[in-house]
Amino acid sequence: MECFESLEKICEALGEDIDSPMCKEVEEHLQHCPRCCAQVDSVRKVVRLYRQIGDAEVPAAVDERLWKVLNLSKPED
Amino acid sequence: MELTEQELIRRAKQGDRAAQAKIVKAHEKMVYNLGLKLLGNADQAEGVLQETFLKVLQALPKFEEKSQLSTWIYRIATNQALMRLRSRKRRFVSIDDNPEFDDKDYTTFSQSLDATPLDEVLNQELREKMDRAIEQLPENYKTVFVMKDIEGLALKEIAEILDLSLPAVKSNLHRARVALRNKLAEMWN
Repeated sequence: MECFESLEKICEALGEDIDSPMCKEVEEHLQHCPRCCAQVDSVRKVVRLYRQIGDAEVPAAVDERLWKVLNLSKPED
Repeated sequence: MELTEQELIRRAKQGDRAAQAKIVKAHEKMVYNLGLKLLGNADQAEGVLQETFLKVLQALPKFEEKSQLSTWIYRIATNQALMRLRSRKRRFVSIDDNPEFDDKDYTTFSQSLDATPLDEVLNQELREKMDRAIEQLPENYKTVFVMKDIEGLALKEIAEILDLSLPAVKSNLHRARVALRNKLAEMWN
């Protein structure tokens, strides 16, 4: 199940080692609990959604004003 | 021939305008996007962009090269963005300042996220919801989330930029992610 992949990261975030009793307990619980799996999985998927946004290009007018303010010549590509 | 970063910095420190311009060009997009995502506003992002590079050029002779150039520039940009963020009046009610996993059932929400293709992310309505959810995050969560999950910086680098311990960065990131999930799930239907 996908949420198991997130377990290590969750434990890390909680400051626990992956082999710690707490993480083992969490892992065991997740194996039998679709509801908790959905908790973990939905967070992972929300992160994935935000990662898909990507970076915006600097608009040409903004770029032009920056070089003017800095009094520098923009290097050629 | 391409200059090494060290050589580029050395020349820029000595006032070489071409070297300074190369540094600006290499980091311009990164700084603009940080401002855009932290402040959620193109005009404010432009302000951050200009202020950051004015400071970078001014402070460059004092740059001690203890960190990477990009980390140093990111730190200056983050400070500029946070100053603007803090000067704003609170226009909204923040998400729960201490979000944790709750006892709600997120199975349907999780399944509907699976069915969300990339095109949907570009859908205006969904983007607005995502932007609104980020906008409502407390500053310490928002900063870490944008840096790690959107801009892809390493946790160690974020800790250095924000002058936080690694556990503090991880804790803020975990809480930011849960808070965003809670908010998006609430807005989903």
